Amino acid sequence: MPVRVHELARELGLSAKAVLSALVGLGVHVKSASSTVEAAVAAELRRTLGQPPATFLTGSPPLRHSTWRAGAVRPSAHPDTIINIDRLKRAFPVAAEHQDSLVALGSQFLHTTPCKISGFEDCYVALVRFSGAIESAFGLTREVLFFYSPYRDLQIRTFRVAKQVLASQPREVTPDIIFFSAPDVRLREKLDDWSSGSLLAIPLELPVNDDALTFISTLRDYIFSRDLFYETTPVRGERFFGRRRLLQSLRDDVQNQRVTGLFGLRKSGKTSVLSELARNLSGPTTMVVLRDLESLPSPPADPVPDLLRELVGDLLAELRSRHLRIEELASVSTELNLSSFKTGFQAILRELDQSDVTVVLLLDEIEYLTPSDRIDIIEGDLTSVAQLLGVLRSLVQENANFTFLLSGLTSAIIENGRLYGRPNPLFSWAKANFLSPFERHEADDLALSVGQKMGITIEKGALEALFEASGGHAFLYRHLASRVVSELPIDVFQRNIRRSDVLRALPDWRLVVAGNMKEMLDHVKRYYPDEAYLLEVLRFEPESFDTIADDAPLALGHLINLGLVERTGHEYELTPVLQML
Amino acid sequence: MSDIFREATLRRSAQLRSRMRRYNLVFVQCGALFDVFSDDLLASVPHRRLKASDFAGGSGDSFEDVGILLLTGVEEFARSGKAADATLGQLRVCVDKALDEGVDVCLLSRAPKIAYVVVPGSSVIEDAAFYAIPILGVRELLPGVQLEPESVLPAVGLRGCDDLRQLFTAALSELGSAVLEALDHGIFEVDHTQDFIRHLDVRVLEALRGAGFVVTIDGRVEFSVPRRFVEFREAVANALAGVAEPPADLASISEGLWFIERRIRGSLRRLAISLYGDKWRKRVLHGDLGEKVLERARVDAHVGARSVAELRDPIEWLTLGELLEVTRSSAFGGLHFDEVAWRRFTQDITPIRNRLSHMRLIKKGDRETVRLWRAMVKNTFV
Repeated sequence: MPVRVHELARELGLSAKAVLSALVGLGVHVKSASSTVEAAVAAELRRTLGQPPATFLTGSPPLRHSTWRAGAVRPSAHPDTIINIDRLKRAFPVAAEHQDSLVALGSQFLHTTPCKISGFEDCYVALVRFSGAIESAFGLTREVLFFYSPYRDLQIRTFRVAKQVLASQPREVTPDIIFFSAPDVRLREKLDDWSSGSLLAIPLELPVNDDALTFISTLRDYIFSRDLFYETTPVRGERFFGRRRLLQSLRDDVQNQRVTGLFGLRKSGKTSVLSELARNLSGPTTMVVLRDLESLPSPPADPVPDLLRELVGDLLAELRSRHLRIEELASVSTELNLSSFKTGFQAILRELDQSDVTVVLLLDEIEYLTPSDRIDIIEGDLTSVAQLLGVLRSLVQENANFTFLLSGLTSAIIENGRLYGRPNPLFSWAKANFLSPFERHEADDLALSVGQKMGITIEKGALEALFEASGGHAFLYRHLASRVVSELPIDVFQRNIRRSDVLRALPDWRLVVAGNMKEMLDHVKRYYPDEAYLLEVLRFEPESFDTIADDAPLALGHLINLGLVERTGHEYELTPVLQML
Repeated sequence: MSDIFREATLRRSAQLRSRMRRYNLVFVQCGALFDVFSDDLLASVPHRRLKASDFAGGSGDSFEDVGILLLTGVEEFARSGKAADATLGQLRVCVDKALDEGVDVCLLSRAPKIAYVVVPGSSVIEDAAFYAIPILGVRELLPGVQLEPESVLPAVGLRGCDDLRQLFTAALSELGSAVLEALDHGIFEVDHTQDFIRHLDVRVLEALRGAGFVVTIDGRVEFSVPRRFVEFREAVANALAGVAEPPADLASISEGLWFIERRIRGSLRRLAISLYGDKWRKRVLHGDLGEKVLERARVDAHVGARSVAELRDPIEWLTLGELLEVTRSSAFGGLHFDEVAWRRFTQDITPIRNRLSHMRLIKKGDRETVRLWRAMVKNTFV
């Protein structure tokens, strides 16, 4: 059915002039706002100009408004804010155009201030709140920072200042997006170069006409081109998802001085859990030292002397930053060995106990102490590793304000009775936690939240398919979701992942990810030989599996905990991620 | 630089930048077939360039101002996990620090991912997203270049090449022994046609794609120069013949196999003695095995031996196949393994043992397989 231009304009929350102009852009020429356009043209226009998404799944903000103005933000009535906005507009006349566009889109400047960083006082900072419709469509939930620079040749140092301003905002602002305005003809090109995966810099190149929707298009082009699913480095803070029960259990362990091991497959998110735990625990009365062991020499070279040096360095840095006493520990650095380390650390712990300060040591990549391919950790001759663990154990037993946690691929470090030819101090004493794949609700939560930040809704069937194909393994789940997103169009305003999108991406994804899976399994072979054998049997001779698994309950438990084997009814099966091999 | 060359470079540069923006940490395989591209390609991506080993062993400077950090010479870490005084673990620490500062990191390597030694914990090589520089499209060929099947390879299409086999050999030699072994198996043992790629492991295909020999078309992998298969096959043979450096895993694998076989032979000997007492030498070998073993021993060391009973240990003269046959015979009941374990053992270990016996190249994953069975044998056989 034909639609009148003014009706379409009202529906889209735009001026009729803007719609007429957009129609010209589509090659459709009409005389006036009373003219009609065909339904197909109207649909194309809606798609191009961005009718916001009409429905969102549970977990996303409900939205049924039909225009970008929906959920409009009220302008600030505070006199200081009004004065400051005027100042901004006087300093940067282009800001007045930005404000007009924002208002047309139901959005407002809420706070403006000159940049307070020395040497950059002629720059300006503004915080903008977008309309509910825009926030929902693009996954924005907080104010967004606009940075105004007067420089015609924008330099990276100014960009760095903007990042600094964003990081130091006292108000809750969107932490990974900056809108940047500068009279530099190469603004877009420069920002594209300086942007990184962790910070999206969007150029403010709004036109002087009243086509505020260009702003929406810019937002779309930038935000939709992000891929927040793919993560290379450990995630923490706002990027960390799920694992609530595990984190709580680890917190309990720390608080009750239970020494714990956190074990899991490669890329299962161990370091992310440790980082998040460190972030949660750190506080005035808890001093957390997270030490990654991967830069250590590994056996047959003795890693302990280097580790002691690094631990002392970390502890001293932490104590100094808290203005706490360091002498007892600093004095041992000159002649550092296990004995002097214990003496110095013991003294510091007693001192800290006076102030009710607890020290928590988190040691990550523990296999650098027990690399199973280099030396037999049961009978090897590297006694210093067992001695170090013995020292840490006795420090826990002698001090109520110290505990430690180990993390890595192999649980042998706490499950083997002997370690490098000596009784293992952690055997039957430390507790093992395995990092299993995400539970379904955790995976859904991750997908919906991350998807929302990219303006993507995800249908239930798609969530199910993502989980089934990846088995909820953190890395695989994110990797698959990232693959699906990369196939979505970005020149539309409604991005939605359907089950069919996931299924379509699967064949290529499996090709890409099979190498990672193979590599993960090779690690199982290296660190869990009994478990690897069970996997082989289940894969190639499943009829014999039950009998063999009955004789290896610990190994079977590991496989289930690692998310490699699952029980279906009375039978065991490989999880979907292994079936893809 | 011609416009066509410039445009081809810019297209790949834009692709790489987009990949960097999306993944933050990218592994770019850039070997002999892409040398002609590399300098111009990298020059068109704003970056700070550092040698990977210098960066890993560096002072921990902040790289906050650097949009893209390009690390060259990463392949130096491939064989042992060490380059100069730095390790892959140290490289990962430094790379993670840069990533935390918002810097995108590009690892530039002539060797493929599969060529890198496995490190104890997490690996920066595995962390990085893979980027294969695309070979040339027909429209990207320089004017005047004769359209030959191999022209799609940048080294040929943009520079010209007099000796294709030599170029192929150079490119293949950079891929490491695991890839060459897989190609040996695929081309010379299984499938003598260009369909050999159907028999290759995903990691090997990734290496070949990075090297320019394989392309993905509509989700299928294809040999990129199908009409030059003969030259490719000869280049594989040449590259294989040129490998003289022992593989990094060799010592570990030999040690593991040695332990496994000695432990099984020892266990069989003990059981034979307990079963047959002083007559064990004669009775341990069934059928004509005794004669075969005696003959073998005479040729080599026991020149004057008249009977198998005169050999110190006849079991030591059994091949692995014969040893397994005896061990699994009803007389010895498989020793400490059940039939399933022996089947798995035979399928896993025998090919590795054979590869090693003939000084052929070992496969990626052989070390892990041997490690697994070493542990199984150690825990089961006393």
